[in-house]
Amino acid sequence: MDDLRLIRGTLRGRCEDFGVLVDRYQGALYAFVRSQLRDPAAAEDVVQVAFLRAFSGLRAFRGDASFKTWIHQIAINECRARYRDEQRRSEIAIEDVGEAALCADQHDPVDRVEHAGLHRWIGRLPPRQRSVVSLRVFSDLPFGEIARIEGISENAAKVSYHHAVKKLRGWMS
Amino acid sequence: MVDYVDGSLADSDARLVESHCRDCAGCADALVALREVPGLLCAEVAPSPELLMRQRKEILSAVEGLIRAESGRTDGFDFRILLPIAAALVIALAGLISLRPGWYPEDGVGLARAAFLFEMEDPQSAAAMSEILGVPLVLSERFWRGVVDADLSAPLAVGGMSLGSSSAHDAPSGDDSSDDDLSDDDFMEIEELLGMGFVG
Repeated sequence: MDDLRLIRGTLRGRCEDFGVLVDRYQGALYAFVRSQLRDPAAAEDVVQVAFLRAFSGLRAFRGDASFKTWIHQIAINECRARYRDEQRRSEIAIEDVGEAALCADQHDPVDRVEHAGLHRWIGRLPPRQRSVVSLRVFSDLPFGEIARIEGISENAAKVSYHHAVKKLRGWMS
Repeated sequence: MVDYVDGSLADSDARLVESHCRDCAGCADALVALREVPGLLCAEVAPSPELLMRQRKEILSAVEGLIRAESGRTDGFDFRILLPIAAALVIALAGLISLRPGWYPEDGVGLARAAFLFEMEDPQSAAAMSEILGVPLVLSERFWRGVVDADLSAPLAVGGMSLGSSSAHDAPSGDDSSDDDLSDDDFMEIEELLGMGFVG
């Protein structure tokens, strides 16, 4: 059954139709969000919030883009909001940190928390490249949809992806 | 290069990329990266089935909660939605009365009566209206109480003179009950006001 039919079913009160949508996109969405956030618990939370926001706003879904693109867009917005909150918190917290502790921790904020394997490298990418590569690799979105989410041209999305992959391979080797 | 790896290039273009990569080490490396890196990344972040199952359960249970909350909201009638309607009605009524011919502007007595009626029904609206129309309602209430109690639809007779009707000389024939309801002091006060040009 296609997504639009499932959406219509959900709007008619068939909760199980929404369950099918969750089954369909939950894995890809989690992998994508996990690549954007350091904290696995936060990633789980964002996926849940994204689905609930999608459910609440289902009536407003016009179908201009696919449901998959839409829910990824919601998740990206949520990730960015959390990232901003995190930045703000760390800015406030730095005034309370002693000088010795500051000297001991001079790495990029993304590197402060231990990441497993490639996640560490993804975290080092600039935000746009990180989004593009994650949307492509984990969520298997076409470049046209990635471009729509990021508000860039399809070619720019491809170039961004190319650069990101080259960087990742360089860091890994 | 990305399109080549995706397999979306036309055959002729794909052959051009292949021939270029044979002579260009940088592009050949990029091609390898584009083929290898996505697979490596995917292997790292694939969520466990347990995690997905637990999360699915949480999402659907939250969705059911939202549905319950939504149906709970629609079960009972929310009277708060009537507030803006009531406010709009009061404003519309005030506008209608202020524009109604015969009450305004030539007939100040009719105006005072209308304002007083408002006061009887809804003191707050009447107070607001009195401010807009410039009619002191505290006085009008005292003056017109007897008249309103008697008969609002009849032309108003004060001191043998008809007020609020088409002609001030159309005096009612004798037995108007409003004459009985108003005291002599009231008549004097009204006449004094009429003389001052307040209501007349």
